[in-house]
Amino acid sequence: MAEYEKVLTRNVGVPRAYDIDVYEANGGYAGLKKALAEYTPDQLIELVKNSGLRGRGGAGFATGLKWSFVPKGPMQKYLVVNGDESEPGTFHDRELLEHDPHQLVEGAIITCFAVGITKAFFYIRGEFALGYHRLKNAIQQAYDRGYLGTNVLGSGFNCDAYTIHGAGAYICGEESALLESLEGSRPMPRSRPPFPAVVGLYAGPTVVNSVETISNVPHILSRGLDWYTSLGTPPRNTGPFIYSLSGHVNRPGNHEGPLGLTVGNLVNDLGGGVWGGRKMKAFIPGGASSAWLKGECWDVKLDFDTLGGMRTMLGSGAQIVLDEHCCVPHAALRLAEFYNHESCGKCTPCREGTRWMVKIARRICDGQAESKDIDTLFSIADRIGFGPPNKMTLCALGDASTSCITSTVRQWRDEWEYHARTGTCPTASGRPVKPLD
Amino acid sequence: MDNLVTLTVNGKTVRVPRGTLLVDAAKTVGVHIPVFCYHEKMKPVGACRMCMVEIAPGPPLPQTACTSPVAEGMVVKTTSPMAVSAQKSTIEFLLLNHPLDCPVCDRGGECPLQDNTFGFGGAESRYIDEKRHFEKPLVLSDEVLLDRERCIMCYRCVRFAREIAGDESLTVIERGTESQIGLAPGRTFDSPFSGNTIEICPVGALTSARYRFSARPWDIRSVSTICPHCAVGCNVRADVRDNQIKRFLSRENLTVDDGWLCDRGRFGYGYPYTSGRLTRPRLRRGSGLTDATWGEAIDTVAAAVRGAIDRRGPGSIAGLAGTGLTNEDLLAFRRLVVDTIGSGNLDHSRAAHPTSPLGIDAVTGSIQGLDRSDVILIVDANTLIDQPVLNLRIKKALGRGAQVVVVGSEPLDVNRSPYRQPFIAAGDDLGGVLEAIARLLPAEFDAARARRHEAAESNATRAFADTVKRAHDAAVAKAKEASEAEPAAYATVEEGATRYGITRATVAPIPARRVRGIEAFAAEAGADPISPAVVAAARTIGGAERLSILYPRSVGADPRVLNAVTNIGLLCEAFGREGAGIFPLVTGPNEQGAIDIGVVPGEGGVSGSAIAGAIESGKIEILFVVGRPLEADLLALRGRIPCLVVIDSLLGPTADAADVALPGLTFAEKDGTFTNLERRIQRMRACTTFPGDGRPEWRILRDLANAIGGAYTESNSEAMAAALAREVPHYAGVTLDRVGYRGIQWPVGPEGRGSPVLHAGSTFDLLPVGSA
Repeated sequence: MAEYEKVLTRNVGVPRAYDIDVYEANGGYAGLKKALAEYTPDQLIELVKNSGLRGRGGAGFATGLKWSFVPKGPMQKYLVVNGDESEPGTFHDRELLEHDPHQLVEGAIITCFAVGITKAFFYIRGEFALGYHRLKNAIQQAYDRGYLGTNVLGSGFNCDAYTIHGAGAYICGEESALLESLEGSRPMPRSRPPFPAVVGLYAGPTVVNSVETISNVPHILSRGLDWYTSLGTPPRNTGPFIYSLSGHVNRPGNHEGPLGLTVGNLVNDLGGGVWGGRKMKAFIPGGASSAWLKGECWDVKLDFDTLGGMRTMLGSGAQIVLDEHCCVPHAALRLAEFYNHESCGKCTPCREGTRWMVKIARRICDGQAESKDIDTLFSIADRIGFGPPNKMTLCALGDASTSCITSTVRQWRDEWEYHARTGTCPTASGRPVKPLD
Repeated sequence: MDNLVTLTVNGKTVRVPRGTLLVDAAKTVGVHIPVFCYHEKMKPVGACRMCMVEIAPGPPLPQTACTSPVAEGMVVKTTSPMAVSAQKSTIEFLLLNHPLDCPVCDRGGECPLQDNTFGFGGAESRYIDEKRHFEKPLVLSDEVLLDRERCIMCYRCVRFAREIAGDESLTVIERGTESQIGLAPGRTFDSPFSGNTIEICPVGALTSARYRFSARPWDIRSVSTICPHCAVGCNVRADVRDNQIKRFLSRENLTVDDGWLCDRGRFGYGYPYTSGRLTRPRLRRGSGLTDATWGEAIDTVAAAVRGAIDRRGPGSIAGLAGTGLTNEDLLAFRRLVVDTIGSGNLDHSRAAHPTSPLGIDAVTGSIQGLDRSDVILIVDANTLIDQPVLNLRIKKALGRGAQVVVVGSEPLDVNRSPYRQPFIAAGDDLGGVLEAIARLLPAEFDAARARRHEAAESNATRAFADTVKRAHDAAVAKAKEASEAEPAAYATVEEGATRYGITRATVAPIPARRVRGIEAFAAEAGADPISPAVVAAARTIGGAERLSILYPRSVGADPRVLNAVTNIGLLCEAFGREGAGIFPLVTGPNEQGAIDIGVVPGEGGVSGSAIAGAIESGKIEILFVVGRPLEADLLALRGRIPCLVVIDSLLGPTADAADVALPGLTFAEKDGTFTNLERRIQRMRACTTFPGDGRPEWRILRDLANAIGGAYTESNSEAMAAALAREVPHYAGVTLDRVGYRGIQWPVGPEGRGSPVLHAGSTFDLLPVGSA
């Protein structure tokens, strides 16, 4: 694959990169200065629209478009940076928070200026103690240098930033549940419409973007539109992207590259190949919530539209490799248990359905089931809702909980049948996972 | 019509106001969309997913009708394959962990979960795994029990507690499949409105400790009556089995109770069935009371009355009536004491009576009018205790953004989140604080008028700029279309306006308030330092479009307070208009009826507040006590009362002290009418029969009057109701037909309708200020 110069993670490994002096010395806050000096807010929104930047948090919604939905006018508007990264397999926001918090702060200030926001909230996952601490420091340093506060860099624009710890619920990564949590309520998703862009935090218009999304913004300004759209596949899949690679690979971790690497590029070139020289059996392309692909997907491009066309998604940008010794039903059961545990319980299909799926999947794995139980399992998952015309849940967690079931029953039905019949794994080792020799 | 939206539901055309939720819009054309979590008095949450329907245009997914507002041209299908399959799935999910113990469930037979399963669910369950288990019942309070296994997590109870009652003890705990309704640590469900959650629970999860396992919905007889416990007069459905009331349910009357009951009312139906009832007439013979026949008892009283009149005149006879009596009872009481005996010594209260500066001793507005008030001034009132369901109406006003100003002693729930209110402690100087507010009002009116004018001006400016911009945009578009040179942008709005021939609409000045005497009033503004809280209160009140003032009627006994309150009302034009008014709140269930009928001291008569003194001075020969307990001070004076006649339904110190004790009936056993605190005459209906020898009080009082020389012929409560319309001026035109199911507010107009508003079209002079 072609040579790639890291952008978002360029400061990872740079000593004290979280310090404002180091950040500025490496060209930091140039994007903000440029934005304030050369752009009107509307031009900034137009710029981000033209960049093709799409949300890195899961849904891949066009960022500039989202910003443009916020009504104009003097009412109090909010930016909420979603740092509640908790999708299994996903860890790029954590790295950005710990190693380059100023990049995020700079992006957030530019976003606020573009949308006419004067208050930015950073909602950070509770377990990210170091990232939270470094972000807080970064915000303080930004205040000290005049990047935050009243009259930012003499532009007349005011912006304040606040940080909030999450308390350990996966659902808080869902934007409307996050807003509830921020307001001090029990985190349960809100019914939409209205969307947060119109009625969000404290009923004010609110932009909710993820850490990585916002971290892209300074670079669009400092390096320009042409550079940005040269990465990936314009016009809808552009920019740098952090792939959180995990599972049975030789080099797991965050690998940055242009959006739209192939599975082969990622797993073999960046990830050093499947461990132990084994074959790849399954590939989860966008976090635990995405539908699984068969191991022969080497040429599939990892971008929003390619994966969307395959009934899966790029999701949170986490890629998980499962080798040939991995038992698919057991792995799927583990994920189903995660969603059962993390369902907020607000709406019926998710609250009841995730538990039911676990019950059946566990019986199948234990061999206490028949073939028709697999049909029931599939139909429940389909019913809770993996896409039209069946989605019944209030938020995306319901859909997410079903992809591990629907995609594996579809593609590895024989393994589910074998389990139901025998109660043992059909893998070569006869166990769910075979460790490296 | 700008405000109406047209859509189709199952092919039927629906026209409803913008903002209506689909689930409500469908009802207007008779389409029933099943719901669990949705409740029309609470914000929709879209949690249960029962109301899934197909909506076009929109994503190809089922949508919740309870969270979807109508839109122009929407095509809704509630019975399409997509909708039907989604509804069926929701039922399947809800029943997975539901115990299906319908045969022993209180809700069985009147259960929305049963009904929706029957209507929209499948016949078989595919669930074969272990159900979720919880310990049960969970005792939430002495009255409310929770079965968490039956619960379907619709959150209605929690939402009711938060949104309507303002309580925070009931909450959701745990998460996901383990989520459950529970209590905040260390709390009980101590809300005075807790029983409503039982009624709105769509399954048998919340049950009443009193009612549970005592009846089935199909073997109860329901009686439409009213709650006898306070002056709000909430409408109830009494469910009767085995000649006992088993429960009260709300018989929703939006004008009175909004569909809610307080716990005192909801659970207060049991006392007629206790052993402590007075069952037979009793006479004091020698030292003790012994049973007697009705004839003996009536004759004894009549002889005593005649003797007393002969010896000392009618002024030696006095009567105290309770406010739990019906209008019919109270009329018979007045007839006995005033018309037959000729005494003016009667009263319904032991407290001093306020005068009524406007001539009519009643609330000038209506309870439902509070829904339209933008400012509510509460003076020394504790509605949470005295008129609980009225308290919910105040919270509802707060919830929709009305402002509440509280002056006087602190109401119990003033600090309950989310209803925290500014509160002005008045100490002993309630009249002074209110006068200060009144004196500040004229200046505040001018300020509010200026604010409104400014807002209107700025709206007009914005609209003007918009119109100019639209005209310019149209011109640009037109030029583009014709490939001509586009007109240059305009430098100022005025320039654009000139170019496109647009004139700015003028904003008419808002006229000043015309209240007779306001100038002199404003001039009286004193030089005393006024606290900022009072100034803030005056600002709020001065900005009110529709002001309602609530205060206990008893507070008005202080003329300074009464004048100040009335002046505030007059200054703010709170009279004669819907959504505004002055509310001297009575507390006794039928206290308003007693006032209307004239159970008040006559000219020179002994009042309730003076009765103890009159007894002590030996002025009173005979005291009638009807339907009320004797207070300790009067019991202590028992030896100074030569003859005490008690009519009551319960045994106790009062009946024990009597020389003649006559058994009356309770609310459960008699027909009649009550007048609630907003002048609404409502019907009370007999629910059960009394196994003893009690009689309706009006009948006992009629027989007494006739034995003394009266000639009253009414033989049933309907005839008494007709007599009320003849003999009580305010009740002219009131017939039982007009009272009907929902009651009628006196005075009744010529076309037979009630009056939500008093004093429409009247003008009053401001009252004198100061303690003089």
